[in-house]
Amino acid sequence: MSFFGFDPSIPPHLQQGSGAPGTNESYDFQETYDGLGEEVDAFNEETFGDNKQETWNDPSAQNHAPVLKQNISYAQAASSTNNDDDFMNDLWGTSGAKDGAAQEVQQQQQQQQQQQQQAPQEKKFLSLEEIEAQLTAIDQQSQQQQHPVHPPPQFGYPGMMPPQFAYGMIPPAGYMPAPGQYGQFMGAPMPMPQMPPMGYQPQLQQQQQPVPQQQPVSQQQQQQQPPVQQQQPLQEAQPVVPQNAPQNAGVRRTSKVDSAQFPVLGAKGQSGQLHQQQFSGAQESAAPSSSPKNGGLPSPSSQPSFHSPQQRNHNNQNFHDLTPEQQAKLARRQEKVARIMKYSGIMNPRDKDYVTRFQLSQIVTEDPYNEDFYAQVFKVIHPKANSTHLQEHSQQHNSIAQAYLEQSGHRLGGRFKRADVALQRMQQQVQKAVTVAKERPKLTQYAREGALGKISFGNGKKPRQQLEIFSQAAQREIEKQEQLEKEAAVEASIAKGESDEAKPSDAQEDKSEFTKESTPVSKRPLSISAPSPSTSSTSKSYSKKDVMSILENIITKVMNLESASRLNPQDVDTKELWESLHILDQPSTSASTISEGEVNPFIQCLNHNKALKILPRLFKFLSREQILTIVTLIMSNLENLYVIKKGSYTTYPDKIVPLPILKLIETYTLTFSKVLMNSVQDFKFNEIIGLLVILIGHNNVSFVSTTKIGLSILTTLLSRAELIKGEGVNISATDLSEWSSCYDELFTSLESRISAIFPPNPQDIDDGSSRENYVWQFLATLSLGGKLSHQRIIVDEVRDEIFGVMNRAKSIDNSDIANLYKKQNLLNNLNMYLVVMGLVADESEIKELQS
Amino acid sequence: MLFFSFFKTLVDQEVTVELKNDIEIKGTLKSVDQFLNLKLDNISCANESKYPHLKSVKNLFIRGSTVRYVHMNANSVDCTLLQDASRREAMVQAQTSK
Repeated sequence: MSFFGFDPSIPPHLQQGSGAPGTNESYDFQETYDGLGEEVDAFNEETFGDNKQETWNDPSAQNHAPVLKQNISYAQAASSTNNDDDFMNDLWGTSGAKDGAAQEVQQQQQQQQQQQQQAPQEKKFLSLEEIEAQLTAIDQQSQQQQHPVHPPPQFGYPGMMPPQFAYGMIPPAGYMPAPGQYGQFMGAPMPMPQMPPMGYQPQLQQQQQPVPQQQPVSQQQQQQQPPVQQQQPLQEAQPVVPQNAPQNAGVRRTSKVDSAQFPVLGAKGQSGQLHQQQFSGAQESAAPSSSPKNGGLPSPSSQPSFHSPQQRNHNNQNFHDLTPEQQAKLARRQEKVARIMKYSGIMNPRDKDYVTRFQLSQIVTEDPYNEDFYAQVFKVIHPKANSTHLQEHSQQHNSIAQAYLEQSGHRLGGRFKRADVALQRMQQQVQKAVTVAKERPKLTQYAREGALGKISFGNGKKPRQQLEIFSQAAQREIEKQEQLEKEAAVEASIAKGESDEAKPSDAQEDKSEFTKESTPVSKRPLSISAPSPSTSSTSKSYSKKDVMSILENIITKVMNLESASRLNPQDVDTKELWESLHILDQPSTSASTISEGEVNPFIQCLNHNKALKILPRLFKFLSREQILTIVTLIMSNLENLYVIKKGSYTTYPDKIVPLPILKLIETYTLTFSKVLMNSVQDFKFNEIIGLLVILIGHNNVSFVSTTKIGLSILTTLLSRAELIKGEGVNISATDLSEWSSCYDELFTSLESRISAIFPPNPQDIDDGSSRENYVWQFLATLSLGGKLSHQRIIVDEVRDEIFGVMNRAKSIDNSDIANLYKKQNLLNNLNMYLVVMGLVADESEIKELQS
Repeated sequence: MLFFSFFKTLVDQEVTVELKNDIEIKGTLKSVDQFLNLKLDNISCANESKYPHLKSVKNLFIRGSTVRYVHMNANSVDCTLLQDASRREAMVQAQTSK
């Protein structure tokens, strides 16, 4: 047996929490009574003294004393016979106060003395059977003594402790969770509050209208069922008293239910009430536990060991009407419920609050858009899915858990205007917890002598790593890198300041003539049109790694700008972003003979999917001039783009573009082409002419035209120019003449090679399933801009293709319903081109368009 | 916090959790915390014949460290956003480590 009467079989949470300190002190008392007190007390303080002062906020442990003090007057406490210890007085006094009779206390102590005589070795918590056995013994004694005042039922349990603790320690014995728990946390129907009165009334009726058999039966029971005997004689002798006591308790309980239904957050008094509720619940349940036997049911099935009081009452009411079979069934069910109920209510609302608060304080953050970025933005982007979840949640009574998740990334309630009081209180507490946690210095790792790494401590946001190994080499590398970056930054600023002085350095080999020529972004970018190829001799070669880091840097800048613009949409500084693009760093054109690595880094970036995906977001932050500069750069570097360089069937022996490039082309059409199309809307007529001139001047147009992206870029520019020309606003005569010479130049470079824009396998690009065909679109646009002579040349060159399409359309049988739409698409696409020249084709012939 | 943030968006969705002991559990994700402990509801075991003891279990709590994989519907993941989020996370970490 343990020294403190500590029962290891009791669940540890109970030992630690409400049970242990109180229990031990109650035992203490007994031993003090025996003259052993001082020694034990010393040990107690050592062992359990901390328990009460711990920051660990166990409500039950902390709140016992205050609760008890609230409920007892010191006069009452003093009236009890044994008050050598204040705390003990409180304990005993409480129970006495509850029934309002100090006499009873005395009486109980008498009983205890008797008990001790009977079972002097008994110092620990007993199993229920043991308790029952003892009860029987006591009861027989008390019957013999014929006490004028019966002991209150809850004192019947031996074990030398106030009943509160007994119930706390042995949950199955009528332990009942505080009602608030169910309502608030489990969402289960709350069975308890109305229960006690209901349960008692039938019982009382039975007693007041004496059934003839009752007496004999209960006498029988006294022999057969010892546990009940203690209460039975009382009830029979003075039926009124037990009736009043539990009912009072019941009334008290129900009156308190309201406050208990809300989670209690830090209010000591309230938690005290809660505890009391639990206790009173326990008292009530103790009484009804005997009721089935009072009702005179000798059936063994009526002794299901421990059920929830609800079950028992239910039992009371209906047991008479049931057949033995049903009773057995009911008993089984009760047993099952009892098993389930065994652990329900182990945590009271305050415990749960505590845990929730603890968890919240770990993950709550000041900066949700950084630390909880995904969830926060996801909610904004996919609001529909989210709102349905919220509804579901409120239906499922899961609001606290949901709030926990929602709030975790949030600055406490800013968005939760409707957060209920409990939640708000929780938020306040969390806020406090967070500030405290911030003030506390953080020890993130700890190097132990001889250890290979450092031992790290986890926190909520960054769970612990097993070992944090940090190599010296990596450290040096990082420092070196930072040093270089600093130097580079200094050099860059110098280079900018004195731009006419060449600055050959290893970090930034040349700031280049390109920069010098067009450093002011607003300057008309057409001046770039002829960067001298001589720069290539000194240009820097970018490795893939360089390009990737530049690209990552761009993306980072874009993201930073995005979050900045969320906070302050008006004032966004895009200077850094522009610099990170390296647009002007290194001039390069498709025409210049440079290696791949020497191409302008931004152009190299455009070979990567992620750069393309960020383009729409990037362009949002750029001014029209900046975009024009970028587009100009791209036009002069078309053939340096993989999508053009490798996107032409002509470069492949089997005339088939490989799959990875096809995928890249697909990405381009989805991103780049759209961005370009949007940007071109803002360009002026002369700017578009300029772009075309650059395109023609720096690229092999006939090669570019054999690629899908190249052709669609041409189409975009041409069609925009045609549109502006058609509007006829603000177009000077010089612009028009420039335009016609530009068109002539373009046409000359394409002439005699126009049929080459059709891939060798037309099925590859248009099997009729798509509604658009970029080739016919281009031809239509080209014809639209040209004179009649141009159109003739085009028709001559693509005559075979036109008839080819017609034949393919013809080959699709009219009865083939599933493919009929393809035929229509083929002809539609073809006609898009033919209509420009006033023609229309069906599957057999070409006619003049009749309008 | 990235994965925590990510899993939060999966709450109330059907996921399949593959544990390190080979049990595969399909269920509705009810809750997740920063240790990626998971709470599942309405569970069913994918290899039930092998692990019949889970047959009667309706909901459970899984310690995050025992999870090998979580399978989820591809539609419930926003890849672009996830990429951004991971970049952001890396940025924050780079800042704090400096």
